Amino acid sequence: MIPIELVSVGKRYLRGIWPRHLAHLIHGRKKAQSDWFWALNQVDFTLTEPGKRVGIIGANGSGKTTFLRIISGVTAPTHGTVIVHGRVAPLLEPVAGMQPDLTGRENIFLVGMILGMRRHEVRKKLSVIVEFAGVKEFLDMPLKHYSLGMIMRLGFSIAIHVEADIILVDEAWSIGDAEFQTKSFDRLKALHQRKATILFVSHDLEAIRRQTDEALWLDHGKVASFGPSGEVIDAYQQAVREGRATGISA
Amino acid sequence: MNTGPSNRPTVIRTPRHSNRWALELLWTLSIHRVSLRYKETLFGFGWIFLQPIALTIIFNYIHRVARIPTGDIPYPLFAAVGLVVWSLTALTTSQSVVTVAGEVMLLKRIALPRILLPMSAVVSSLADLCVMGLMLVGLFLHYHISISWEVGWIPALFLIHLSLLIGISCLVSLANVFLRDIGHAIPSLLQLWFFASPVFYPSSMVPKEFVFLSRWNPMTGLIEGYRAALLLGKPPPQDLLWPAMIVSLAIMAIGAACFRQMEGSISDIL
Repeated sequence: MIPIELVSVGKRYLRGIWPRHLAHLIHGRKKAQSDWFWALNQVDFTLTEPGKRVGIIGANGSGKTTFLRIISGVTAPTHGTVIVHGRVAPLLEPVAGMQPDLTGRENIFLVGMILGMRRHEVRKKLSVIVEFAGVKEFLDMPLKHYSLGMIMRLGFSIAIHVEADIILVDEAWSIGDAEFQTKSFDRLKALHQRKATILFVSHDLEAIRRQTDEALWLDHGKVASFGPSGEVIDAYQQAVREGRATGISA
Repeated sequence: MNTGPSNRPTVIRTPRHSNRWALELLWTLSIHRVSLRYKETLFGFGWIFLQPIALTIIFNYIHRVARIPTGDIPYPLFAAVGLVVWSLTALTTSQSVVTVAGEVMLLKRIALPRILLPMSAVVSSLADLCVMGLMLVGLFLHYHISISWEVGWIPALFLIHLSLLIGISCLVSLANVFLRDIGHAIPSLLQLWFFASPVFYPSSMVPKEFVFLSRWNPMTGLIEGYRAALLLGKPPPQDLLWPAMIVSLAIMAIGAACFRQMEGSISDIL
């Protein structure tokens, strides 16, 4: 089954704030037109089989985050067709959905369920998640008393234990100490061996070269190149050297 | 400026979320909403009683001053029923305001059925209703009110009430995303609505020129309906029940339709 297919997908965002746009609409249409910009434009992207590791590269503002948001379903496309087969786990920002006033345990259930797990699934995985995050002694302490590092580790640990078919990783690698990073890497590897598709956004090109099979290069919201990681990264680095690869130019 | 192709967007996603999962999540969100509201307060759930009790005392005073006719019903009981019914509406409405707009981090990172957020405000308000219901039971025992078979109307009234709450919750939470003005307007609007509803006076006291408006205020039919069934042992007044039902169902339909239509833009606007 094709895990991900995007056909001429476009995503338009409002540049300013919405009430001002509304005011423009009321006062006349001309200004209202320029309020919009295209974060993604005519993007075609197909993964033909599950189990691929794909790196997503490009300058800041080239549409990488929007691309992940479209696949995770956080945002709907403005144009085009999006087909996603499989449970998606976003490892985008590990603190999303967490409640500082709830305890670590309550947060594991809350976030685990928000990410699509059933209550009994979370209960079954509770000890593994806690073990992985290394927060065993603090399980019944409100999250607000955790250190930032502990919160991030916990969030990451919950998300990475969702039995997902498609995993979206957005620069989450810098979390935790060397030991935690090694553990995270091993867990992703295990998921990959179970035929999970992994999309991996990073500015660390060497990490992408080592850890992915294919790479997608986004430039100004369009696909600049998609193919084997080594080739795409070489082309990207060439473009950067020549000053051709830039983000959104206002 | 590129305007892009003009084909309509299509999104196909499998596997779909299971309903059981959605219900479980709704329950979890609601429980946390209740516990967060009273966590770290000394009196905890006692605060749920405080407002209705304070208002009942104030109303008793107003009753003394203004001589509000309530027939055979003791005034504290008359006001308490009105207050419990009103509190549920007011609480749900004010809780709903930030359910969606307050979850920026969550909604921008994780895809979940967004309707669960306003619905958790409805469900968590029902917890408060249960506590306030206990207060009512106490009052009933104190005044030796006998319950007639007409309490059979309560579930029907409650369903109408619930549909009103669901509709309001959808509309308010959604509107506050697009226009933060709503968040500022809601407390004043609620106050206005409170005085326009027969909470501490009977609807029979509404001045002639406002009778039409009052009848189409769904809270009129609901409060008078609950009162009739609980305190008078009579069926709800039909001339008020029908408008309440029509308006409540209409608000639910409009709210749900708007939410469905607009929810895709929520994470873009936030």
